[in-house]
Amino acid sequence: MSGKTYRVVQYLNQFFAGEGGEEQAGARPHSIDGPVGPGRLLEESSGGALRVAATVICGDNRFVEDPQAEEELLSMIAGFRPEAFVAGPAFLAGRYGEACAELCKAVREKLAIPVITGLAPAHPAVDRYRSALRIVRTGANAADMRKSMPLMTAVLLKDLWEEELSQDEQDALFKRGLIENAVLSENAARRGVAMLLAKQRGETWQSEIPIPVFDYSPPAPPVTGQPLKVALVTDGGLMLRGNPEKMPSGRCVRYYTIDLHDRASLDPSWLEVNHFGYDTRYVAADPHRLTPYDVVRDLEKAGELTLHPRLFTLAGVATAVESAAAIGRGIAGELKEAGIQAVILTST
Amino acid sequence: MIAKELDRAGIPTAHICTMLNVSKGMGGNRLIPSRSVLHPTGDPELSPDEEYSLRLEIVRNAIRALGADIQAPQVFE
Amino acid sequence: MRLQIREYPVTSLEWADMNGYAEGSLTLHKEALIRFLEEDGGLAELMLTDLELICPQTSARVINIAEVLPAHARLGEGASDYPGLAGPLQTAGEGISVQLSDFSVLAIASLPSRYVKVLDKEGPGNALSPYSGHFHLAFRAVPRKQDMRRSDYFAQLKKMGLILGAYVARVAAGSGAAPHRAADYDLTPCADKLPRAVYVCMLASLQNWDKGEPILYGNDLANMLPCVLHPNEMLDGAITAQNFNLGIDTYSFVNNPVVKELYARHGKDLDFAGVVVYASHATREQRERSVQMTCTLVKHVLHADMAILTKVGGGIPESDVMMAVENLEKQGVTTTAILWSQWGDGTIKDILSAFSPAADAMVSVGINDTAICLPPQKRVVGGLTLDPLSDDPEALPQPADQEIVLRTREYCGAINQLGASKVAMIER
Repeated sequence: MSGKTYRVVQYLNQFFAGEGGEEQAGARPHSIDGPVGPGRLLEESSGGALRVAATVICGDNRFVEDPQAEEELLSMIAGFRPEAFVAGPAFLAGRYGEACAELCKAVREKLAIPVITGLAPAHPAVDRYRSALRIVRTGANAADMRKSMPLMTAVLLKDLWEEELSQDEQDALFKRGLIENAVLSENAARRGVAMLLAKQRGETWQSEIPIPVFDYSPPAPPVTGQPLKVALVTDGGLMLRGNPEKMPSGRCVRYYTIDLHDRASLDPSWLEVNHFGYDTRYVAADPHRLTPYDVVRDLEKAGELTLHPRLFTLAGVATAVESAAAIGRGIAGELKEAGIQAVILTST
Repeated sequence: MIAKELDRAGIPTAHICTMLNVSKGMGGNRLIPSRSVLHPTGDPELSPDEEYSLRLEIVRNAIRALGADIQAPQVFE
Repeated sequence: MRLQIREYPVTSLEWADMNGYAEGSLTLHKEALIRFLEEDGGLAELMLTDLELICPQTSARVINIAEVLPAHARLGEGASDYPGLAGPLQTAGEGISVQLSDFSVLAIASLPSRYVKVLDKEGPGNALSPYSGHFHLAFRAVPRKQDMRRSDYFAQLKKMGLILGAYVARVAAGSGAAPHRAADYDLTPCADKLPRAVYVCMLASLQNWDKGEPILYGNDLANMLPCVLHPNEMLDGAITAQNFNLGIDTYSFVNNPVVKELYARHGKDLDFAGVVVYASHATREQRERSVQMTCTLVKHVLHADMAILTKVGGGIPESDVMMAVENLEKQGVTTTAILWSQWGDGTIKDILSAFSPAADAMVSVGINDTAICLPPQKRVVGGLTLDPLSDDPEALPQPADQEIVLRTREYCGAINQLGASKVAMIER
């Protein structure tokens, strides 16, 4: 802590700046010297440690629709030479919350100063920005201003003073979604039985491992007709003997391909398996147990299918979700280009 | 995850696996039960001919799945 | 079924001219130990190469640890230790047994294996493992025959460690010293109506398994169907860990922390109804059958109100646990599952390989694959270099006495899928 007063710039939308509602949502970026509305509460709750040098304002629609708006706001903010930046809080307001989070991120990257904003848990920007930013958890609307603004002030000051957050302050922030190991005071078995009893008794409990939520993609339209152009993909760790491409036995970050030209069958004379997630001996002895090349090739001879001459492969164990998605997109790109209509994917 | 991205790109994907609930959770749509984690499209207990027939059956199933007009994830037994 | 375990704590450990135990001080006679192994047949197939004592808070590192084993012996007339594996088949879990606390036997592998562990007795690793404070008898052995099957080698190594542990436990029991504590285990019917709790314990992951591995009374669990065990059987040596060691060992089956915790609350907060054991199989049919029968035992045979589940192995076992949780919750049984998580991309979105919305109460035993860095140690037991344990083909061996980098699950005891460690994943 120090007796110093820091120069702050605050961002507000047209509504919180008191300039009007939806009819003013197109308002261009502009600024007002000194605090406006919530800025006064910000100064007051800081006990003199923060002074709002200027308030920058932009209409909600303008920010999302005008590609220049963010740049203009950033240079405006930089011009005031702030030592910290506050945006909002925006509560559950959609466009406003997006603007607050985006500006915080941009200001911190550009000016390397502490930033803070506040959003309600259901705001879609929370998930996208929480790993990069400190975001205070707020109520759904401005009725929560008197509670959330002082929390934002407290967290921002700790940042300026380079002090650790108190437990209450940590709890007021959204978790950043980053994981690490810690040593707790009881072993997992004891915590597990305690959690079981709490759940059984209808008391509150918190799962230590949250269930991840994934976006979902509906089924691609069906394909029929002959010959159907297909490709074989497997995540079972099949590779060329000797592993010339140095594919790891798991945690792959890219895919590998096996050239099937002139190959009558898959066999251990030229293929092997590298995958730490399962006992690979059966597949190594006959790779058709992993991917049905012999059958597909016979169907090709019969005119039912056309097979892409490259087999796509990786060791899919412990592959990060993001890597798997990128691998999937990569394969999709290559197959689209080759005019492939469908994929037969095998997993161990 | 890989299946989901292929589907998203408009390439229907028949996913042959045992962990059907996992595949479904990760966005797989056309799901074909495999023989085993250790040998998805084969079975060392069978004779080579029987193994081939098993594999043919699985591939036929996959082709049927690829041609099926579905709106949600479905298991093709 | 009533089991009394007499506990003798170890507070110092030394070689001496004779075996002895008094007030925590354990002395062992090396030649007598070797003679015993020779006479008892423990050395028929293996040849002992190293026998070492290791004390906590000394600058020491043990590498190539294949198993952590308890010093546990059954004292009754004609009682056999680890029935079906180290002794004749009989029911474990009844009578009087003896165990050393703060002590374990470390079996060190001489054949290469990716499932071996490292343990430091000093430094930052100490906070991670329940074994940090232990005294150890560590041994290493090689096959007598060149062509010994790997799975036979590891089974023999395990057996030898169990025999050694039982021998040492008998030293304390035979010393005339009074045990520090005598813990009684039986499932006395509860006076009050309390929620009935069942422990659903996965014993093995058959995705990575060898025929003939001793797991349940010496049985390898091929084609295993679920069954009910009395918790005492587990505490008295009916179960030994499989070689596919991803955060389990025989020490933590014999000292199963979930069983001990359920016992501690039996008659107070809950009514401990029993343990259902099953294996994670390879084919879909076997897996579904196994999970389905497990859940029927839990709900309709043991009449559980709630169940706590643990797993072994990796992704498919995780998927089986999720299936069981879904099934049990659907039938109105409250569940908690104890699971490890994986690092993935380092965010909360990428921590499990299988999940179900029904699994809303999960306890973490930590991220199994985050890297930890351990400082140099003066003494090294179990080899000179640490071979790569990871899947990275470019990884190089590390000099064992220097600073080393490992995945957390490669540090002995840190990631324990039965819940014995205090390491947990947290989100920030």
